Amino acid sequence: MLERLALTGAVERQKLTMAKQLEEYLRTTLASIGDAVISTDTEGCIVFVNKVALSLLRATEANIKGKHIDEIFNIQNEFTRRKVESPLAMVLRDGVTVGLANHTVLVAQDGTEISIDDSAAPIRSEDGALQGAVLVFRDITARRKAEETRQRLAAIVEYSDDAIIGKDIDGIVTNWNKGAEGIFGYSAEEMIGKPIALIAAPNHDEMPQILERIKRGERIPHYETVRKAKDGKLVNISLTVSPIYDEEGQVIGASKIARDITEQMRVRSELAEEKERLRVTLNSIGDGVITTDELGRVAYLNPVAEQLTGWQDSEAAGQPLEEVFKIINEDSRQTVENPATKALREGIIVGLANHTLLITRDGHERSIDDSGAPIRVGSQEISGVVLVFRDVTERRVDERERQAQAVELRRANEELNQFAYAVAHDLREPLRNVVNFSQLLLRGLKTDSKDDARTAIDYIVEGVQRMEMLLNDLLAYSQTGASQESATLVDTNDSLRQALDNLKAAIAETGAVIISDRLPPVLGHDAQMVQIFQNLVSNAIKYRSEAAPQVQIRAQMNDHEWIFGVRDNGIGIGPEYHATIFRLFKRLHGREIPGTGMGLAICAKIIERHGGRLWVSSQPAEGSEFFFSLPVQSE
Amino acid sequence: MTDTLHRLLVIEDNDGDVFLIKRALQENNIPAEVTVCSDGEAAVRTLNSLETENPPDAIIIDLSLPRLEGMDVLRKILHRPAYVGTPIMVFTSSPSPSDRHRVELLTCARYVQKPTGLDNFLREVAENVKSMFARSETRSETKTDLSREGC
Repeated sequence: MLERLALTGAVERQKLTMAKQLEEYLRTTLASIGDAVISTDTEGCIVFVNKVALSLLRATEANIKGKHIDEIFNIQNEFTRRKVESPLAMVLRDGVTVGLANHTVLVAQDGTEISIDDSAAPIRSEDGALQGAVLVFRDITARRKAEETRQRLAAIVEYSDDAIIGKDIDGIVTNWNKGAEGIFGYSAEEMIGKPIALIAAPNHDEMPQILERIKRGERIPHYETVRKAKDGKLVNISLTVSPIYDEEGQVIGASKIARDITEQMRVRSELAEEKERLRVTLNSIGDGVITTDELGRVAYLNPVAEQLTGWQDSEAAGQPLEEVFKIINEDSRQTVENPATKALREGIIVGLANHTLLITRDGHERSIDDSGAPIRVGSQEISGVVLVFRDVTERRVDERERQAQAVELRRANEELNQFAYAVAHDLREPLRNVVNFSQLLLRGLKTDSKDDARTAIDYIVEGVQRMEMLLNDLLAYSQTGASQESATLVDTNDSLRQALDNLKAAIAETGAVIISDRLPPVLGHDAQMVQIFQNLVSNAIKYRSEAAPQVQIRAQMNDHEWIFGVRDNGIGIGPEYHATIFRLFKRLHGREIPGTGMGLAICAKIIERHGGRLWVSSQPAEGSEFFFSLPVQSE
Repeated sequence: MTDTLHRLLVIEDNDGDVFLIKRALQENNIPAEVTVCSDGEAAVRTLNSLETENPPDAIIIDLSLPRLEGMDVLRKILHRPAYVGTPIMVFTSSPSPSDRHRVELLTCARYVQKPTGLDNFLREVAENVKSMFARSETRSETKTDLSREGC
């Protein structure tokens, strides 16, 4: 019995030892596993907590041992932020195992939030009685982050505007994102599992080659090609194809990123067209054109610029502009600032400079006009400058010749005037002697006419008087315009009054009626205005018909000019004479009407000197109206 | 009109006009001692020599003269005290307004254009010479007064 007892005692002891060993073993295991472990009694008071759990709870064994689980294990739903019942509490209440719950956040003692997975199970004695519960949980923050990252990447791929396509080594589509749906029109359902060759376009069968290169592990970046969309339309795309490797480094497929560049291609081709148009324009315009970059180095010369400077486009490219386009001032022969340089520096358009000489590559000189303008890209930074110039050598020479001719003409004119004046003046002297002494002779003769000598002397006197009249008019003509006095504002009503006063005798003799409108003031010389009216009214009276002369003077404004009219009821002038009557010494009539044929020539000269014209409107037997225009005097 | 023998200096290169000037005096009974110079330089010499003892009572001068122009002759003598106030008639065939303007601006002389026709010529000369001699007499009576009468 004792032996049995002793035996029994030994067995019990052994059992006890084994149990102790087991407990130690379990305790060590629990303490060292990677998950957090907390066990409680049936009341939920903490009996055991391992190191991982302490670390996640940010607590020490001392300050939680014996506390109720709900005091220290505070968990919330990740999204709702509501407190969640701890699985351990559910186990103690219901006596069942509670599995992993997702999206729970543990709020540690110090407030730190940790994403966790947790589960709890009951602890029962051999007879099945509930003795407590064990709570196991783990930190899944890192895993959650990795998952989020993966999801984000997937979303990026999925919703990219670019088509992102995966295919296996045989060209069978494995991935097909929204971008691919948008560009090619096929849905993912339609494409996944189908050969990529579905979107091949005619004449663009490079797919097999691409696959070959992918198999060799090559990457094909930015390859531009054409594919066919579901609706049959061709799409310009830019492709980047990269191999996909498995863990062993074997190529198992390809990822393909395609971008729709149809619009880009259209813009590009329009740009190319535009560029071509510009090139053709620049090549065919008559001016020299040089463009430079932003540092003033030659970028382009058109053919005219090549010809004018003696530089070829290819040789000039990259040279400083001053090297290719050397200019100096025509008069000072000093280098002048390049308009392009100024345009580049100041960002303004520099206009044509005159009297500039271009020194060609072989040292020749050309007269040029030039201008420069900055080139701006999108109205921002100056990216260069365009210089336009033309050869004006011929024009410059013409200009000089014209100036020389004008000087010569003025000189000749001046000389002629002096000559006419001298002739008229000096011829009068001997003529006066002839008249005076003929008349002196006449006094000595008996007054009983019939004398041949008297008749002869009468002819001499008459001839000389006529000669004198001609000389007077010639003198007047030569002096017209020689006036050094500047023009003033002349009241033409006064001029007319003066003219009529001078013609008083003729008017009285013929019984002429003169009517005048109110006349405007003009810029001119009073004496010359009098002369014009006097000559025209005198003609109107002189070339009278049977009826008493009626002369009407009027003026009206017509397009920046005053048009004066002097109308008569005289014998009129045939149209064939309308041009010739204004010439010097031109007369339509013989001795029956006195005159020198200079009146209208003098009028024309005066009027032309004042910037106007003189003309006539007339028919034989219907009277004449002489018109002359004078510029309207602006204030 | 007294019968004093007035001294008239005629500066004129046209012999015909000189003849007619003398004829005009003669026909109109104007007694005068006429001195004639037929070019500008001769006129200046004569005026110099007459200055001290025997200055003329009146002068008739043409503008276009050989050697020295009439205007230049006038410029050389006008400032001399002996000729201040001496009546001068510029007698010219020039109708040029600028010549008239110059004469009237620079001298005290009267500007007369030689008229057309014998009768006109003779009348113009006679009337002007008469009035010049008349002025000359007034001037002699108030010899101390050197004012430029008529200017």
